[in-house]
Amino acid sequence: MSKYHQIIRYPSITEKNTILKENQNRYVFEVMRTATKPQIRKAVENLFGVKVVDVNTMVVKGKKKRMGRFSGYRSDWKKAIVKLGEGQTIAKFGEV
Amino acid sequence: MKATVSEPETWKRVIDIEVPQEEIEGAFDQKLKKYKNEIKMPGFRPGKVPVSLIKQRFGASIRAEVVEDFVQKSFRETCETNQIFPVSQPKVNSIQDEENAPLIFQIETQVDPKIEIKGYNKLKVKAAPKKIKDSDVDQVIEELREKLAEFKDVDRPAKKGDYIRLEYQKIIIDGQERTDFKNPDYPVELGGEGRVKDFDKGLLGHSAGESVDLNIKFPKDYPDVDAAGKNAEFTIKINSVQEKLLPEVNDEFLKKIGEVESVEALREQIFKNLEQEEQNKAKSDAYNKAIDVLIKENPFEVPPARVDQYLDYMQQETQKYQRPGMPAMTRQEVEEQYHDVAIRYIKRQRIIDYIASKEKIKPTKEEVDNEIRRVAEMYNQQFDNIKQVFRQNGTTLRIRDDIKERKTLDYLIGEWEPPAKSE
Repeated sequence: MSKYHQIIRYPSITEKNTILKENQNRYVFEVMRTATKPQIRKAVENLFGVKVVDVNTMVVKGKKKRMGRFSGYRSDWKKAIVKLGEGQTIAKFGEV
Repeated sequence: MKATVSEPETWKRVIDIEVPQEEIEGAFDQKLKKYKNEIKMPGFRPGKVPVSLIKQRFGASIRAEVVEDFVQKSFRETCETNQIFPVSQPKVNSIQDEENAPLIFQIETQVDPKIEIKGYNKLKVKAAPKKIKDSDVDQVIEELREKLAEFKDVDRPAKKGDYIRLEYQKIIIDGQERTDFKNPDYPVELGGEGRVKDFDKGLLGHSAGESVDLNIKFPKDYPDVDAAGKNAEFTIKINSVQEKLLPEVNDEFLKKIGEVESVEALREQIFKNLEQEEQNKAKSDAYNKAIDVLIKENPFEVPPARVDQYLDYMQQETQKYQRPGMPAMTRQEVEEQYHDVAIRYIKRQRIIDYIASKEKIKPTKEEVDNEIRRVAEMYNQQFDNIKQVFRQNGTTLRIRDDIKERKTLDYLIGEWEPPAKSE
């Protein structure tokens, strides 16, 4: 596994993300917690051979979950929203 | 949809079908829409999954389903429009399924070939029962006497035709003592059929209670392979000598047989039975002859699938009646033994069906009812109950077929005429 695969963990495919993809050509990934925007940009460009215009990131806080009388948190994770250059697509999105 | 039917054999139909691209795609889209509302995917509310995603994920399997549907549907339709009645599972030979191209495939199936049976109303086959003679009746009575024979102990040396109860005390065959011979628990007839001659000869002239030493040689064809053709020494104890007494044909004899009043009545009853038997035999001989002639004069082929079905059935039957301990017949053995039987049976069935439909031979309601009534009486059941049960489990259909078959066969040998047509 290349280091790019370590940075880009999964594509995130949801209703909201599909709309983002269709309207704004933005693709959403779950990425390594410590990855920086430049790292993500490089990873996406190399993995999918596309030109990245913009990267936005955020840390999504894990939800509070209970198992009976114990309560805990799901892990936090970092979400990256990547905007690609005009006319570019990631064809095999969903099969990373 | 385009379908072309070809006939490489009389019993084989090959259907080439071409389904245009638009039709396939239309069906595909419809299926897609149907699944859209059913598919659950994380990140999406049910029914909100975009079509492109479904296509990407499930496209191949949906398409396979569509193709499967089309193969079945078009096969059914072609069979209907072309009057094909398959007798085997259809076999799909080649499928060309590419996106953006029409779907092309080939189906192969077996049918009963069209037949035409000629000359069935000019058959010169007649049932020819033999006349029952007095001597035939005598023979039956003789058999009855044998069956009712009594054994009486006699105190005299045994002679030919006597029955002996004996016990083996020592048996040495070829210098080796054998202990696996069982004492017969029935009287042995001296000089009877299938006995070792020397053995019986040695026992002649001895009375009950005596011990006899015998030196004999087993014949070469003796059933016990270990003993056949070998010398043997027996020491035998005779427990009793019995005489077989055949009963006289008198009133007492009649009482034992039961339900007969006089010797004349008995003779008449036997005569009738024999006559009936002979009648049935002559008829079935005639049936077979008629069918043989028709098979010979009207050659047609039998689809292999039919033969296979029959052989399957035969194999099941042989397994059902298999004696315990015997190895089951293999499929190959069944095939060798019953292949010709199968073909004959199938042909016979087809010929009968053909003639029955051609001559409009059908069982009447009374005939079916009578048959059911007969069965009901046999099992001591109410006629209405039995009728109900038979209707439910399909026996009525079988009875109808049986009657139809019988009538048709009777027609062939000139013992039954279809009623004059009412037109």
